[in-house]
Amino acid sequence: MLRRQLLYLGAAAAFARPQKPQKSPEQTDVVIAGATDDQTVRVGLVLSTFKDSEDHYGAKVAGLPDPRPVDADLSDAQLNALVRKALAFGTKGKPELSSMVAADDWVVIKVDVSACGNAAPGRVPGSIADLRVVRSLIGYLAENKCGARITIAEGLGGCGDAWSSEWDGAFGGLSYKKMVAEFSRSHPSIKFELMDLDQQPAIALPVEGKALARRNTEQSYFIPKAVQQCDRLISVAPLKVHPRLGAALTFGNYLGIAPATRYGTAKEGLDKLGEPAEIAVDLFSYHPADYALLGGSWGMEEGRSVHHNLIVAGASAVSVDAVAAAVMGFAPGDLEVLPMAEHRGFGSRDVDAIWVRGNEIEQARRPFRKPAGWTAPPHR
Amino acid sequence: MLHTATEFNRRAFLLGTAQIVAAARLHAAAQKTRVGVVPSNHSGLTHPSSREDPLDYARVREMVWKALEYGKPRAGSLEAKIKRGSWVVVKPNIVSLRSRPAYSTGDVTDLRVTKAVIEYVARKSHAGRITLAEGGTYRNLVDPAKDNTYSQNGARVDLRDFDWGDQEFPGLGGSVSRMLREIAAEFPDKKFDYVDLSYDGVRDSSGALRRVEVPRAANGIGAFGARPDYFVTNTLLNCDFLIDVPVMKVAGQCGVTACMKNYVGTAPREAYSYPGMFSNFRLHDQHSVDNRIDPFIADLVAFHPPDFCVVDAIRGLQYHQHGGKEPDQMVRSNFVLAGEDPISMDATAAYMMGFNPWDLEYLHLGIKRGLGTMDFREIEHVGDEPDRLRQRWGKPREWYGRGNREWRVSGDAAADLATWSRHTSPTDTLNLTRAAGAPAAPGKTYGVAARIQADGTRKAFLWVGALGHVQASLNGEQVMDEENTTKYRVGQFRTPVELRAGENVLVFRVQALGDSPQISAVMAGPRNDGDTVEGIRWSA
Repeated sequence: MLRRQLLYLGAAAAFARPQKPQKSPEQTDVVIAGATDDQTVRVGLVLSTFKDSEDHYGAKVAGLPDPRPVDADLSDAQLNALVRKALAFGTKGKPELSSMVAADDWVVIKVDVSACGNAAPGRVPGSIADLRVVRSLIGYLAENKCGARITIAEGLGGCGDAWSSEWDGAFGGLSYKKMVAEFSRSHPSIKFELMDLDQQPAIALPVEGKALARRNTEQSYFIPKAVQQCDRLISVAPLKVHPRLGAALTFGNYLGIAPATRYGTAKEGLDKLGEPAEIAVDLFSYHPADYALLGGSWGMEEGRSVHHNLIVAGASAVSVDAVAAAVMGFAPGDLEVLPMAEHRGFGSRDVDAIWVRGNEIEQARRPFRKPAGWTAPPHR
Repeated sequence: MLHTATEFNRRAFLLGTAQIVAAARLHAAAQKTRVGVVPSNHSGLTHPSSREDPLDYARVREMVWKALEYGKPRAGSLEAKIKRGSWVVVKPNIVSLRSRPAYSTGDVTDLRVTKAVIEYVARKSHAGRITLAEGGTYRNLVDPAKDNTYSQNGARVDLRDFDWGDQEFPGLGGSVSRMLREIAAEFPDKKFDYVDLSYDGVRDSSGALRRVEVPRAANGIGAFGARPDYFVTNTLLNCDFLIDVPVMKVAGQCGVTACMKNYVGTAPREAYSYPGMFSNFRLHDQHSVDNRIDPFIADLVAFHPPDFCVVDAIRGLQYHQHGGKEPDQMVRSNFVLAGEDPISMDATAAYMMGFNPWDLEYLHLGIKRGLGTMDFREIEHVGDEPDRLRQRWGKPREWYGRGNREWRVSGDAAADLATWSRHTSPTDTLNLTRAAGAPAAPGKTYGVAARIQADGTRKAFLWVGALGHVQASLNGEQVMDEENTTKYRVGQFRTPVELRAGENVLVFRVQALGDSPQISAVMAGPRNDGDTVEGIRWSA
C-alpha cells in the first residue's frame, strides 16, 4: 500500500506530493513537481513469467514475448528478453542506462566470479554472475553505442581459468573469453577486454570521509586502478547468500575488488580491518555502482543453487539490493550493509519508498535457506 | 648629558618608530577589506547562545546586526553607503520551497537573516524602496505551466505567500508577504515589495526577452562564459543598491555556494528553463566552459556586483547543494558573516567549510574583474577568528579544485626544457595542439611542465586528466605512466606524491594517440577529496 501511495506521490513528472503539516494538522502542502524533482527510485523486478499487464495508472505494459515458468530452462533469447525488460523498468525514463553511459566512456562491468571453474558441485551456477545476463547487458550497451571500452572485471584470486571456463555448460557453454571474442567481432569499434583485478596495479587511496571499518587505522584501501579510473561501473551478481553478510548481492560483489596481492586470495587481509559489511561499504565508496544488476537463471541458497529466473536492476545499488533481499526472504534490517550504505548517502533501502516496476516483490518472493551460522543482527 | 641626550634620543626614536609602525598598521588596516564574523556564542552579543542552539529571531537579528557593524564598508557603515531615496534590493537564496522533494533544511537562506537585513536597512538607512528579490524552482501564480507549482490548503502559492510553518525558522513563522507587510506597517515612509526574478527578464520593445552583453570592468575584462550575452533581470540592472544574502553550503560543480554563486538565481528562469522543468539548465548549457559553471557565475555578478553581502552560516548543507540521503547532511554552524567585498566573503566562507579558497575558480575570475581579494593578509576578520569556527564539510563527489594554469609547453618533448614556451591555460584543461602550436600526429610527444612552490614537505595526490599516453615525473622521478583513449576527465589518474619544501618540477610527456591530446593537473591534498593541498603555488 505504501509503495502504491509513493507511486502516486512522486514518481512521474506531475504528481501531487502532500507534505507533513508543520503547524496545524489541517494544513496541507502540495507540490506539482517537475521532472527534475522526480527523486523516486525505480527498480526493475522481472520474473520469467511476466505477462502483459497494467501499471498503477492503468497504462498497458507489454509482457515478455515468451513467458516461461520461473524454474524453466530459458533459451538465450528468453533470458535476453528478461534482462532487457528489467533494464527498461529499472530506470527513471531519463536518464536511462543508455543515456547514462556516453559513447566515449570506459565501462567496467564488475562480475561476481567468486567460484573457480572447477568449484564444488552445487556451488555453480548459482554462486556466480549469470554469463548470459552479462552478455545481454553488453549487447544492450553496444547496440546503444554506450562505451568505447568495455571491461569485464573480477579479482580471480586462485581461479585463473575462470575467464575460459564454460562452467560445465551451465550457461549454454558460454565463457567470458568466447563472449569477448564475439563482441569484438560484432562491434569492432569498441574495445572489449577481460581484466583480473588481482593482477592489476593497485593504489592506496583514503576512504572518502571516514572509513567505516573500525580497525582500518590507515583509513585507506588498496584499490585496482581500473575501478577508480573507469567512467562507469556496473555490478552484475547473483542472488546469493553469504555466510557473514547474509546475502552478498551488489555490496558483496564489491568485496571482490580488494586485490589479492594485498589482501590474500580469500581476502583474509580484509578481516583485520573490520567487519565485512563495513568493508563492503568502504570499498563501494571508491566508485559507487552506476548501475546494478542481480539475478539470472540461478541463485544460491545455503548449500545449493536455486533455479529462479528473475532479474533485479536499477541505478541505486542500495535499493536494488534491498528489493533482492526482500525477494530472498530477508526481513528489512537483516542485512547490516544496507543501513550502513544508506547512512553514507548511497540510496534508500526502504522497499516501501522504492518504485518496484514489473513484478511485485510478493510475486517474486522465494525464501532462500539462510547461511549456516549467520544470524540477523538485532533490529534497531 | 650626552648619555641622557642619547637616551632621550633613543627613546624618542623608539617612540617615533612605534608611532610610525602603529600608523602604518592603522593605515594597512584601513586599506584591508573587513569581514564581520559573528557566531551565536560571540561574547559581544547580549545573550550569547550555544553553537547548537536553534536560535530565535531576536538572537539572529542581533548576530546579523553585529556582523553588519563589524563588517562595515569603507563608507563607515552600511546605512552610510546607501544613498537617500535608494532602491535597495535584498537577494537571498531561496532556490526551493519546503515542500520540494529536493528540499532539506539548510538549502535556503534563513528567513530570519533576510528579515534582519531588511529590518536594519529599513530602520537605519534612508532607502526609499526595499525589495526582496529571488527566483527559484517555483512558478508564480500566473504562470500557465502546471509543473513546479505549489499549493497550500488548496490555494496555489509561490514564494510570496508560501507559509514556512513555525519550525523551519524558529521564532519566525509565516510567509515572505506577511514579513514584508509587518515591516511596512512599522516603516510607512518606505516602500516594500517582492520581485520574482524568474519572470523579470529584460525585454525589447516587442516584449521578447532580450540578451544583454556582460559589461566590461574598468580594467577591460569582459565575459568569461561560452557566450558573452545573458538574459538578466530588470531589477538587477536598475536597482541602486544590492545586498547579497546567501546561505553558505557546498555546490557540486563549483565547490561552495555563497555570495557569488547566489547570482545564478538572478538569471530569469522564464528564459533559461526547459519545458516541463523550472531549473535554469539552459544557463548551464549555453554559458558553461569545460564543464565549469564558474565563468557564468562571474559574468552574472558583473551585471551588478553586490554592494554589500551578508552570509547566513547558521545552517547549510554538506555533500550536495540540495537535499540528499545522508542523515548528517545539514550542518549547523550558527554564525553570520558580513562585508562589502564578495571575494573576501566567499573566501572566508570557503575557508570555514574546510575548502582551500584558492580552489574556487569563480573567485579568481572575480579578482580579474577587480571585485576584491581572497588573500587573508588583505582581509581583516572582525569578531571571532575564522580558525575557531572552521569545520571540514563533506565535499560533493564530483568536486575538484582549481587545476594548474601556468605551463611550459613544447611540441617536442625531447627539446631542452629551457626552450619550452610559457602558456597560460584559461581552464583546467590544456589543449596541447593549441598550446604548442603543433598539430597532433601519431606518436608525436609533447612536453608539458610546471613548477610547484611548496612551503614545506607535503604529502599529496597528483590528479591527472589526459587524452593520450602520459608519463609524469616529479623532481626527476617518474610518478605516473598511464594511457587513455576514451573519455577525458579531470582527475582520472591519481597517484600519491611527496612535494619537497621549496621548488618542485613536474614534467609530463604526452604522446598523442588521437588528434586532440589534452592534459590537466590538480595537486590534491592528503585526504584525496579534490581540495588542492595547502601551502603550494603553481608557476611556469
